[in-house]
Amino acid sequence: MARGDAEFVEFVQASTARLQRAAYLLTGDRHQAEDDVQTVLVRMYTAWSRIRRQDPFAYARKVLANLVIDRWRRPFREDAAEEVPELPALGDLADGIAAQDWLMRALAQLSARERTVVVLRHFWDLSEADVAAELKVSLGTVKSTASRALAKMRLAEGVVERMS
Amino acid sequence: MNEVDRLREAMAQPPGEQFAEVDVQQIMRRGGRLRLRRRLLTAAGAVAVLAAVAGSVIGVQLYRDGQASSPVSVAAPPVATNDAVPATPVLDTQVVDPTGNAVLYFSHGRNAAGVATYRLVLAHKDAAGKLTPVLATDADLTGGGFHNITTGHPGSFLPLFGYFVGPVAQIKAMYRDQPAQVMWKQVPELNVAVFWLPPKNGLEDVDANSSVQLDAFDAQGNGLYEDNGPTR
Repeated sequence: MARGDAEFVEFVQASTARLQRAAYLLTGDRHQAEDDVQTVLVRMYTAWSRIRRQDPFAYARKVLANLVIDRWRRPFREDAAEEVPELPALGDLADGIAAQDWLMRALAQLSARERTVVVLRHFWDLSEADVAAELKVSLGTVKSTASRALAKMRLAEGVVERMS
Repeated sequence: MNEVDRLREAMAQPPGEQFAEVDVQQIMRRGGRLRLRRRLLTAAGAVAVLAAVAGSVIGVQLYRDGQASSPVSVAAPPVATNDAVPATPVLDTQVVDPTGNAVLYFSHGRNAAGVATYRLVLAHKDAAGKLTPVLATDADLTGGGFHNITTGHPGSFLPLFGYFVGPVAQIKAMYRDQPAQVMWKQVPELNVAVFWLPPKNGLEDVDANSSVQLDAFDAQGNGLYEDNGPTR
């Protein structure tokens, strides 16, 4: 196996779990998340000789975000959710699985761009400026989108308040 | 812990879902095929661009070769005339021989069919200003391009002369694959440029059997229409 290929395999082994988690937060669908990660990795391998000396993880993050947003722009798409999910009983909050369920329902209320901003900002822990650079939008757009997204999540789900 | 911290904590928790393991070998196979396809497309694009550029260059060259760069044969000197009175300004070629300066001008005349026409005259002008015609050729001013390409030898030291009908910014000549100096002057009355080649660069031996390549260009450097052969 060539040296570049060995490095790629190492990268896949080290980053797949986190990429899959991010893809799941972005899409809300396990199979879609698996497919998206597969697509991201194929594109990365195609450009590996160019990106291996840069920041492969940043490249993967960017490809994944754009993949989700581009799919959302297509004319024939499935809406993530059309009805407001039921609020769980307070007792369920202690359960991690229930918390995840809530989180995914809250994220489902967001548009693709809002969801991407939230995931980049709070899962990948990027600064607002970095999110703006990654999505090629202005800093003001990132701030307003993030604020709107959090407000939606707060109002529709009460997730944030109930996570404590 | 504020609400953003709690959101981050929820996102960082392990997922409830179990993801399938990625098949890295399959990813590398698909990526390799995609990379190969992109490289082929890039190479094909480059070849197409190269072919287009080469085609354009060759096309332009062929066009120019076909339109403006054909070698022309030098005509034999016509019969000298003695009644050629200048109808246009007399152009001094600065070529001097024992009988005076070689000059060129147009005169009125009649062609073989008896029709009134212009004639291009090569004459000698002596120190007193007297003109002695050496030879004259009937001038056709209706078609664009080079006309009446004629050698002044042996009656004069002027190797080659003629005229170009239509606007022209530059005239170039090649003789025996070497560039040759060309002089020309506009004759606006007739919308022509009279040109001549001074006796240097080997042109001293030009005769009726010589072949000289003449090219005319406009102000932008584009080749102009040219279709001449021997005048007689």
